[in-house]
Amino acid sequence: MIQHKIKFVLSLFFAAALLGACKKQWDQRDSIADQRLDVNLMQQIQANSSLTTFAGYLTKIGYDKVLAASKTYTVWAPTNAALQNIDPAVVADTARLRVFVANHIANQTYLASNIQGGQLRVRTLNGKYVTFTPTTVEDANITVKDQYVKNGSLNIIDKPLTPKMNISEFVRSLTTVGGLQRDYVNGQDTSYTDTSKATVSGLDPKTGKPILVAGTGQVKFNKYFSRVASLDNEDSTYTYIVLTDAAFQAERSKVSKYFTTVTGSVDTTNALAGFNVLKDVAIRGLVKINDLPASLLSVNGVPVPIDKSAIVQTYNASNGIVYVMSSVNFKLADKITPITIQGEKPSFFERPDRGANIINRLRTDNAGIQYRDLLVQFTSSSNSEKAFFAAYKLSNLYTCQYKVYLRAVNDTAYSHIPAPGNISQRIIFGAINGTTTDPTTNVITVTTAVNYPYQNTPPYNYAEMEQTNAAAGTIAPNATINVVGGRLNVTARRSINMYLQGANTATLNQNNVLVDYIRLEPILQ
Amino acid sequence: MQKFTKTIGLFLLLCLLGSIKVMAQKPDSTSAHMADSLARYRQDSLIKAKSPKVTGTVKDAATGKAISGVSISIEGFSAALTDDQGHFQIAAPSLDAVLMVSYQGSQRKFVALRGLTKVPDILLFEDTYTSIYDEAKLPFGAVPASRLGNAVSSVNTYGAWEPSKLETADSYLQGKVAGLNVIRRSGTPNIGANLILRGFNSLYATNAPLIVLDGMIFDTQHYGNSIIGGHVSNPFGNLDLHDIDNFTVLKDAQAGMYGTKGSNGVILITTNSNPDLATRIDLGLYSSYNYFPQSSLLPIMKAGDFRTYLSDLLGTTALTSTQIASLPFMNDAPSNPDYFTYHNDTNWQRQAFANGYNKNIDLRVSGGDNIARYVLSMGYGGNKGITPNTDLTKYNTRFNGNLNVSKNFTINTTLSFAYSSQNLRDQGLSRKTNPMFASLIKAPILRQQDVNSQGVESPNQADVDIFGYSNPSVLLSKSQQYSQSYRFFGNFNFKYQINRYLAAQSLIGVTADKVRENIFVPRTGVTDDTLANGSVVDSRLGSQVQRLFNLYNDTYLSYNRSFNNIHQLSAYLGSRYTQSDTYSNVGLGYNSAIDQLVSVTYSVPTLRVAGGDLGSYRWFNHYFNANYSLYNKYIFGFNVTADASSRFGNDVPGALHVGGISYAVLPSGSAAWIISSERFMSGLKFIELLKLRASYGLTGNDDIGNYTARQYYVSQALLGQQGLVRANFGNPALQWEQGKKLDLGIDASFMQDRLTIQADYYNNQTTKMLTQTPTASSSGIVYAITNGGGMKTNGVELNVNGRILNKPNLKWDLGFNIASYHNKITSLPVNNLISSYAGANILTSIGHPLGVFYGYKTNGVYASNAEAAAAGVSVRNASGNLVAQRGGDMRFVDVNNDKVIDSKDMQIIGNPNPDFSGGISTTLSYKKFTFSALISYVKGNKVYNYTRRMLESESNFYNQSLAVNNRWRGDGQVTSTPRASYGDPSGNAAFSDRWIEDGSYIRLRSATASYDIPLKNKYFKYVKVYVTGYNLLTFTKYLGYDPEFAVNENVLLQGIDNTLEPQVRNVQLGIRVGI
Repeated sequence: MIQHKIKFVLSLFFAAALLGACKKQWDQRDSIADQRLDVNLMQQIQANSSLTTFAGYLTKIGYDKVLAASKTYTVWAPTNAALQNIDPAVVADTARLRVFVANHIANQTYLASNIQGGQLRVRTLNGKYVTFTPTTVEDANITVKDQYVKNGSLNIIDKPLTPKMNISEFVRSLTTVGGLQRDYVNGQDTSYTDTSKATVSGLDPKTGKPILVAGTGQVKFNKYFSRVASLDNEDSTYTYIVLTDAAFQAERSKVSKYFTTVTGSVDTTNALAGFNVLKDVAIRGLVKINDLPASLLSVNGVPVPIDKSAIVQTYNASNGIVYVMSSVNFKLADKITPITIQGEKPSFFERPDRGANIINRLRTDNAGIQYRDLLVQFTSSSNSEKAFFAAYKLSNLYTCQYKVYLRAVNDTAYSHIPAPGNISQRIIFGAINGTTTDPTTNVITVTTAVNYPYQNTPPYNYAEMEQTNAAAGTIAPNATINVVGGRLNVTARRSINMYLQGANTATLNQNNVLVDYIRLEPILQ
Repeated sequence: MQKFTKTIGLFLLLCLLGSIKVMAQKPDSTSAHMADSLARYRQDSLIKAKSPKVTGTVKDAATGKAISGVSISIEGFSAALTDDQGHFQIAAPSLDAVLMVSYQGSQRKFVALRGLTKVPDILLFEDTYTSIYDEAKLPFGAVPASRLGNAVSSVNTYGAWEPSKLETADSYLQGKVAGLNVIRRSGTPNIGANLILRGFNSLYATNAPLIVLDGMIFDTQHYGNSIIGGHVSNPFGNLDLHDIDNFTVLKDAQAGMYGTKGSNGVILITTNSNPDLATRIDLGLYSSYNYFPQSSLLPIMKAGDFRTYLSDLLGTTALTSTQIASLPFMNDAPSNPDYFTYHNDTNWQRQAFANGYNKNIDLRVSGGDNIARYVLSMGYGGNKGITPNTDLTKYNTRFNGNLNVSKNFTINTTLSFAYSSQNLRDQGLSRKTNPMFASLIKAPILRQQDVNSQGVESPNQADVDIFGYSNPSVLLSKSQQYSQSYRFFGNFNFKYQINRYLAAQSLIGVTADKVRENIFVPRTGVTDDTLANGSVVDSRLGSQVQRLFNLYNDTYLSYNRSFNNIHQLSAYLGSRYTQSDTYSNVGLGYNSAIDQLVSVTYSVPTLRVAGGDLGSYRWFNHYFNANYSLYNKYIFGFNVTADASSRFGNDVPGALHVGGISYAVLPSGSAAWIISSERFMSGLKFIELLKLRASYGLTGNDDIGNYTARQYYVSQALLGQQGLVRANFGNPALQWEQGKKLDLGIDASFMQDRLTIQADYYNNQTTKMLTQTPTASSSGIVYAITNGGGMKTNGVELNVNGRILNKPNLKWDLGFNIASYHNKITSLPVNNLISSYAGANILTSIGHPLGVFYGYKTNGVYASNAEAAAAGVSVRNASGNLVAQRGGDMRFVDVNNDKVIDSKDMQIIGNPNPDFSGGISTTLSYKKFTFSALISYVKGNKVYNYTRRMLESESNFYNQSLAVNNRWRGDGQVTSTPRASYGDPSGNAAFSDRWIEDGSYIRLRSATASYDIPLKNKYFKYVKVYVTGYNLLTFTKYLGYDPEFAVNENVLLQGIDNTLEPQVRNVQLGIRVGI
C-alpha cells in the first residue's frame, strides 16, 4: 500500500517535472529553416510537374526508394519533353530501363557551382561516367542546376543521358571497319579459376584439397587489356585507336620479320607482330579530336604519329574516345627496341658455392645516376675461380642481328688491382640446352655458339663498350643463333643463354666479374 | 577610489580614538572596589531600585496573543518574566539599554529602549524565523546579526533534514547567502561546488573561502589531481550536512582575523551544538529517485540524418564516390556481411544515463546532564549516479561532547570520521574514455554488441568502430574508476575561566585524510591512446593515494567585560598554529595482458609511470581582536594578526622581520552605528532596526606554494638516466598576496521584523598577486613566480527577507538575495596572457575581468561561392597556410581588414562572470503542512559550450546535433550552420562566438512539501513526512545538458562546459522521527 502511495507521489512529481523540462532552447536551432532540406530527392522530383515521366521510371524500377534513402545523390532529371523520343523498347525492358535511369544518378552530392577546372567526370549508379560541367552534363544542357535537398542535389536537363559503350564494348561491336583488330581483342579473352571464389563441394580425402564444383570460380579476363590498358574499365580514360584492316596489316608487316618462330608458323608470327602493333594504340587520357597533336605517347611510351586526315570514325565512349584510323605510321625503331639485360639479375652462376663472393652493389656513376651492378670478387687465388661466369637466360629476342654492348664500371682498381688495373671479361652466347652440370661439384660447363673475345675493362670507364668480332663456337644444326659478320644473329624466337665470363686466371682480383648491364641493339633493315 | 579608502580609514581611526576617550572619561568607579560579592549584590539592588522601570507586553507575532513566562533580561543587570497577560516590568540601568527577550520555541529578540519606559508591544516569531536577530556563530561566540559591525551572513540549517546525501555542505549554500556564488561542479554525487565569495581575489592562488569547522580549519584544498578524468575529490563529501547547525559567512575585512588565510572570506561551520539535556533521538529515513528525462537529452542525429551527413562529409575527403559507396556502412545490400553491424539506429545517448534509487539513514542521539552532554550521530547513504554503474556509498559518524570538569573548566570535543566509496566514470575532456561524450559522438548506425552476418547478436561488446571511436557500453560496463576517501577530523577544546572576565582556551585537533583511487580502462572497445614516447596504449590502469595530515592548535586569552552597561569590551589575544603534511603517490600502467587483469601490477613494466609528491608547511598566526560597544549603539571592532609561514620568503620587503622570519601584519577595523537605537528614532515605529556599517582592513592569501620561495629540484629523465634539475628560482622576497577589503553596509528591519534588508557595497583589492613572470630563455626556466600582479573586485549585495502572510495557520515567508561583482585585473608583469583549454582561448589582460573568452566573432555563413569570392577573405589554418573562403564557410569578422583571418582578428567574445546571481527562498506553511522552495539564479554569464562545438564541428565522424541538418548545401542557401568539411580546412569550427552561449539560468533548486503527523503517542516527539524534489525545473537558453558546471577551481576555466554529468533531478520521500 505504501509502495503504491510512493509511486503515486513520485509520478505526480514526474508529471510536474516533465512539463517544464523540454529542451525548448533547441527548438529554434534544430528545426529545419530551409524547407528544401526537409524533402528528399524523390519528393523533390515528384513535386515537379515537368519531371513526371522520369519520376514514373524511377518508381517502375524501384529507384524511388533509393532516392528517398539516407545516402546522398546527384540527379540529372530529364524533362518530360526530353524523354519523349526514348526508345519504347528500353522503357518496356526493366533491366534496360534501369541501366538507362541509373545513368542519370550519381552517388554523393556534386554541385555544378563547385566544379573546379571546368569539368568533372562523375560515376553514375550504373558504373558509367558522365562529364559534368557548370552548364552541361554530357551533351545535355542543365536548365535548373543545384537544387539542394535533404539528401543531395537535383539538376534538370533537356536531353536524356543515354548510356554509352566503353572502349572495349565499342571495339567488340565493330562490324564494318577494324575487323582484324576486333578479332585480335576478342581472341585475347580467357579465363582462370579463382579457388577463393569457387564453390567447394567437398574435400579430397587423400590430399585434403578442396574439390571445386565445375564452372564455378571462373574469372574472365582479357590478356590484351591486362597487358596494355583496361579498356573495359570505366574508371580511367583512354584515347584509343582502331586501325582499319589495311592499316593494321601494313603496320604488322613492318615488324613481322622480327618475330620469326622456330616452326615458322605464320599465325604465331602474326599474333606476335599484331601485339607489337596494338600495344601502342592506347593513349592514357582523353584527347579530343581538336586537341590531337602530331604525335602522342602510347601507354607503353612509344610515340604514336597522328595524321588527322586518316581518321575515318570517332566515337565518344564512356571511358574515353576512339578514333578509327586508316593509317598510323609507326617508326620501326620505336617498335623494335634495344634489349637491356641488367647484370645484377643473373639466372645462374658457374658454380653454386661462391655466394659469399657475389656482391650486388648500388653505385653512383660520374653523372650522379645511381645504378646497381654485379661484382664477383674472390678472396683467394684458386684455379677453381678461373673463368667464372654469370649466366643470363634471354627470351623473346627479335629475330635479327644485334650489336652487343657491355657497361661495366671498374672502380675496384686502386684498392685491389695493380696497374694497369684492368680486368678482362667476355660475353658468349649458347643454346639453352648447351650446359652440363658436374654431379659432384655442381660446376656447370657450357657449350657456346657465339663467342665474343675477351675485352679489357679499364678503370673508371663509364661508357658502354661495344663487343665485336664474335667467333662462331659450336653451332648445332637446329641452333637459333649464329655469327654473321662477327655479330650475334638470332634466327628464330627461342630462349638462349648469355654468359659473362671473367679472365681465365687464378690471379686474385684480375678474375673479377663485373657488369652493370649488357645491351643488345637490333640492327634494323 | 583610493582617496575614498583613505577617508574611510581615517574615519575609522577617529572613531576608535574617540571611543577610547569616552572610555577614559567614564571610569568604572562603582564596581571597582566591590570585592565582596554580597556587598556587590546589595550595591546592585540599590542601583536597580534607583533605576528606571520599563514595562511592556510580549505577544505572539502570528496570533497576537499575549505570551506568559517569557524571559526578559538586561545582560548583567536584571531579569524578569512576563505574566499571564504578557506584561513585564524590568529595571533598566539606563534608557539606552537593550532588552533580551527569549522564550522556548521562539526567536530570541533584542529590544532597544530608545529612551522609552514603556516599550511598544514585542512580537515574537517562531525560532526558525529568519530575522535580524539571528545569531551569527563567530569564532569567539555567537552574536545576533542586529549587533554585528561587519558584513556577516548566517544560515541556520535546522538539522538540514530535507537535503539528500547527494547534497554536500558546499553545494547546500547555493542561493542562500548573498554574495556567495556557489557553482556546483557537476551532477556527480559528492562532487561539490566552487564557492566564490564576492568574486575573485587571485589568479593562481586559491579563491575558495576558508572553512572553519567547530573552531578548527577544515582543509578543503586539493593536493594533487585525480587520476579519474574530470573528477575532483571533494573534502566536503566527508562532512555530513545533517550534522551542521549553522553556517556563518564572514565576507569583509573581518576575515582578516584568520590572517593570510582569510583573503577569500571565511565560512564558519558549527555542528551539533546541543542545547538540551533531555535524551533525544532523531531518526531520518529517506529514499530518493534520480531520473534523467528523455526530454533532457541533446537533440542529436539519428541514423538517417547521420548517414546523410556522413555522405556529405566523406564527399570532402580524398575518397572517390566509388570508394565511398563501397564503405560497409554505405552498402545497403542485406547480403553484405557487415550489413547488421552498420544498419542500426542506436540511441547511445539514452544509454549513457541511468535512473536510480537512493537510500539514506540518519540517526542522531543527544542528551546528557549538567556535567556532560553529547550528540552522537551516524549516517549511511547509498546513492546512485546519473551515469549507469556509478554510485556513492557513505558512512559517517560524529561525536560532539561538552564536559564540565569543574565550574571553571570545560572541555568540548568534536570527533568525526567519514568514509565514502564511489564508483565513477571518466568525465570532461577524456574524449576516448568519457562515456557521456563517447555516447554523444558515437555513430547511431552502430550497435553495442558484435553481430554476425545473419544479424545474430553476440554477447561480446563491439570493439572500437570503423571510425576509431570507443564503444560507450564498454566504458559504462567494463571500465572501472573507483575512489575511496576517509577523513578523521577531531579536536578537543579546553577552556578555563580564570575569573569573571578572563578566560583561557586552547583547542587541539587533527585532520587525517586519505583518498585512494583506482582506475582501469579495458583494451576492447576503447580507442587506443599514445604515450609521449610513442608507445601505443591499449588498456589503462592506475592507482593513487593522497594523504593529508594536519595538526591544529588555537590558544587564546579572552577578556569580556561590561562597564556600567554602557561600555562593553571583549578582547582576545591568541595564536593559531597549523602543521600540514601531504603525501601523494600515483602509479599509472598500461597494457595489461587481458581485460580481466585490472591492477597496475599487471601492466607492462616498461610503460609504468610512478610519481608522487610530498608537501608540508607550517603556519603560525598571532592575533589580537577587540570589540567595543558603547550604549549598545556604537560598535567598534579592531583586529590585527601577525602571520608567519614556512611558505613565505625570508626576505619579504617591507614586512615585519622577527628573528629572520617575515611576518604578515594585517590590521582591520570596523564600526557600526545602530541608528534605530537612538532616542530620536523612538517615534518611528515601523523601523525595527537600522544600522550602518563600515569596515576596512587587510587580509592575505598564503596559497603561494609550499616551496615556491625556496629553490628546489625535480627529477628528469635524460637518455634513460634519471637526474635532478633545478625547477625554479628561489624567490626569498616571495610573499602572501595582500587583500584590502572595504565594506559599507546597512542592516535594516521594518514592520516589527517582518521585513529585513541587508545591503552591502564592497571593494576588494588584491596587491602583490602571484604571477608568472617570463624569464630569459638563457635561464633555462620558463618563468619565475613573483608578486607582480594586482586585481580589483567590487560589487553590491542585497538580501531581503519578509513574512508576507502571518496568520496563525498560514504563514508565508519570502526571501530574496542578489549579488553582483565586477572584477578587473589591475596589473600584470606581462599583459595579455592567453591560456588554452578545450580549444578555448582565455585572455588575462589588464583592465579586463578574469577568464574572458578570446576568439573570433562571426557574422553568418557565406551563402554562395560568388559571395565568398567577392569578400576575398582567407583563413590562416593550423599549419599556417592561407585557405580562401568559399560558399558555406563561416564569415569571420576581419578586425584589421587585411583580408586574412588569423590571431590578429581575435577579440573578447564573452565574459564568464555573471552580471548577478542569487537565490529566492520561500516557505508556506498551513497548519501542519509546510511547503518550501529554493530558487537559484545566475544572469549574464557567458559559457563556452565545448560539447556543442564537438557536436557541430562538421569536420569528423562524430555524430552531430540536429542543427547540423541546416548545414549549408548549395548556393543561395542562407543558414547559420556552415558546410560539412572533413578536417575543417577553412576553420569553420574555430573558437568563435558560435560556441559562446548565455549561461543564465533560473532553477527550482529544491521544493519540499512536508507534513507533521499529529501524534497522541507520548513516545514520539514528532513524526514528519516529506517529499522533496531537486533541480526539477530549470529555465535557461543554454543548449547543453545543464548551465551549471565547473571544470575545477581554476578561475581561468570558469564557464567551460567540457561534458560533465548534468545536475541530477531527484525526488525524495522521507520520514523523520523524533523520540
